[in-house]
Amino acid sequence: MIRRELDLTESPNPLKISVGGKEEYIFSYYGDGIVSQDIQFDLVKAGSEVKVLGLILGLKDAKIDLNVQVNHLVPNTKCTVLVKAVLKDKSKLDFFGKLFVSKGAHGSDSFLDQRTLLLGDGVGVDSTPQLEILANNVKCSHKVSMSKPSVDEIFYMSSRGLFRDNAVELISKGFLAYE
Amino acid sequence: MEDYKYGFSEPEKNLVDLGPGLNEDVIRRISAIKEEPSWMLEKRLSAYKIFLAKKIPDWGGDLSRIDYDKIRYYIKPSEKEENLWDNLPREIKETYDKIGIPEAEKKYLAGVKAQYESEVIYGSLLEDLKKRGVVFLGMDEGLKKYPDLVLEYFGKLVPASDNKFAALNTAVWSGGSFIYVPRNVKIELPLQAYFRINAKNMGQFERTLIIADEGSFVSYVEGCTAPVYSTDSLHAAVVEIIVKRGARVRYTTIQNWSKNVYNLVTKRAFVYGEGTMEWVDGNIGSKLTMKYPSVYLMEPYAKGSVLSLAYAGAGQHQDAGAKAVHLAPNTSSQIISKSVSKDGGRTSYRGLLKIVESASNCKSNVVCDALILDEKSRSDTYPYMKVDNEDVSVGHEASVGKVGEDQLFYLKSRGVPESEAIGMIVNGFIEPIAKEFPMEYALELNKLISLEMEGSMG
Repeated sequence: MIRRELDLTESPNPLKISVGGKEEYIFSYYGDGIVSQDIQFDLVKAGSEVKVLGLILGLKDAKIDLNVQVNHLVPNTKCTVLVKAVLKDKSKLDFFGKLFVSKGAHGSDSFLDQRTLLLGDGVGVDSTPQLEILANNVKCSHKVSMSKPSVDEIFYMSSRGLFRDNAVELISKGFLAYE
Repeated sequence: MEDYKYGFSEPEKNLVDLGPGLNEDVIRRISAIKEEPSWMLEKRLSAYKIFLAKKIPDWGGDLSRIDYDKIRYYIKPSEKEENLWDNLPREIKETYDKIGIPEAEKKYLAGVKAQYESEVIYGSLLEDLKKRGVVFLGMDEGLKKYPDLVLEYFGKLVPASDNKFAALNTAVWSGGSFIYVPRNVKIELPLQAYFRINAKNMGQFERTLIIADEGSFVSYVEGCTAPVYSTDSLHAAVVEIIVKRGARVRYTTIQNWSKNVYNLVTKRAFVYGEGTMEWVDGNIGSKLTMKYPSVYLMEPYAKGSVLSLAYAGAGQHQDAGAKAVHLAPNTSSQIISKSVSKDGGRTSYRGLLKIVESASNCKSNVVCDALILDEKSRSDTYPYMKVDNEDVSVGHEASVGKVGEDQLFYLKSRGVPESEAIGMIVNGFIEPIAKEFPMEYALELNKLISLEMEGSMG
C-alpha cells in the first residue's frame, strides 16, 4: 500500500487522482482559515483500491469546504473514505462526498464515513453524502454522524479528577487519532 | 406490472368536463362551479401566475414529457357527494366494489371519502364520531362549512410559491379531505380516503387539510389507483397537517398508480409541543413519483417520523424521501427508507435534515437501505444535512447492495428454489416498514413482491 499526503492549501483545485493500484491518501487541515478543495479519485484498474483519510480541526471563523468523490469505473475495486472533523468556536464545515459506481462496475465495495465532533456554540455543518449506483453486484454505503462529546465520557474523566476542558481536549485528540 | 389488477377502466359519463388545457378561464369556471368565496378565486389566480413563472425543477426525475395542454384539469363525474354507495352511478360503484372499499368500510374503518376524477363522490363517518365533533368532509364542502378554518390554514404550510406543482395544485385544486379532530378526541379506527383516476389524460389535484387539536389522535389512510393508458396522467396533490400540542397524527399512503401517472405531491406537517407526526409512505406504482413528506418541529418535544418504502420496476422512477426541520429545542426525528429496484427501475432517496441555531438538544436518525435486483436497475441516495447547533446528536446511514449471497445460499441449501428465496429475502427486507401498513395492504404488498420476483434470477 502506497501512502501519500495531500496538502489542502497547495494542491491544485480541483484535484484529480487516478488510482491503478493499492493507494492511501491522507490530508489534514488545522486552523482558522478559509479552505475549499475538490478531490476526485478515479478507480481505473480492476483490483485497485483506495483509502482516504481526512482530519480536520476548525478554529475560530474557519470555513472548510470539502468535496470528495470516488468513481468506481471498472469491476472489482474498493474504497474507504473516512473524514473526521472537530469544530471549535464558530468554525463551519461544508462536506460533500459522493460514491459513484458506473454501469458494469461489478464487485465494487465502497464505504464513506464522515464524523464531526461539535465543540463550539457557533459551529455549523452541512453534510451531503451521496450514492449513485448503476450496477447491482455491489456493496456501497455511507454514514454521517455529528454530536458533541458524550456526557458519559466527560463524567468518567471528571470522576478521575480531570477538569472539563482537559477532558474535552482528550476526547478531541482521541477522536482525531489514527494509526 | 402485468399483474396490476387495478388497470381496468369504466366508460366516462361526466357531468362536467372542462376539456384539455389550462388558462385563467378554466380556473374561473372551476371556482364558479364550486360557488367559492372570492378570496379563494384570487388565491387560485395568483397561484396560476406563480405556476407559469416557476421553472420545472432541474433535479429529480424527468418532467420534460408532461404536456400541460393535453391534461384535463377538471372533471365532475356525479351530481353530489353521496352517503350510500347504491346512490352512485353504476360505473363508479362498480369501480369501488372491485377495489374493495365498501367491504373494508363495513369491517374496520371509522370513515371513508372516495374521490373519482376531480370530485369527492362518496363520504361516510361513524355517527358516534360526528357527535364527538369530528369533522371529516371533502375539501370543497369543508370550505363551504368552515371558511374561517380554511382561510387560516390553507396554504399556510405549503404556500403556492413553494414549488411549481404546489402552485398548480393551488390554482386548480378540487377534492381532497378536510379533517378536524377536536381536543382530546382519539379516533380508534382509521379514516380512509381513496383516490381514483378513470379518465384518460386526467389531472387530479386534491387538496387535504388535517387539523388535529390538542391531545387528539387520528390515523388517516389513503390509497390511489388508475387505469392503464398509453397516454400520461398527472396527479399533483398538496397535503397540509397541523398537529397541535400533544396530538398525534399518522398518515399512511399506499400509492399504486398505474405506470402512466406522474405523481408529484407536496406533503407537510407542522408539529407543535409534544405532538407526534408519523408519515408512512408506500410508493409502488406511477411512472415518476417525486414526494418528500416533511415534518416541521415547531415547539419543544415535538416528534416526527417518516417511514418510506419504494419499489421501482420497468419504466418507473421513484424519487422519494423525507424532510425533517428542527425549529425548536428538544425535538426528535427519525427517517427510515427502504427501496427495491428491478427490471431497469430507478429508486432515489432524497432527504433533508435541518437543525437551526436555536434548536439545541435535538436528536435525529436517518437510515436508508436500497436493494438492486439486477444490473439494469439503479439506485441513488441524496441526503442533505444542515446543522447549526452544537448540542445535537445526528446519525445518518445509507447502504445499497444486492440480495446477500449467504442468505440466498442458506435458503437454497434448505431446498427453497432460488426465485422463491429471493422473494422471501426481499419481503424480509421491506418487512419492518410493510408491517406498519394496514393488514390487507401489507398482505397485498407481500403478494405483489412475491409475484414480481417469480422467475427472477437475482
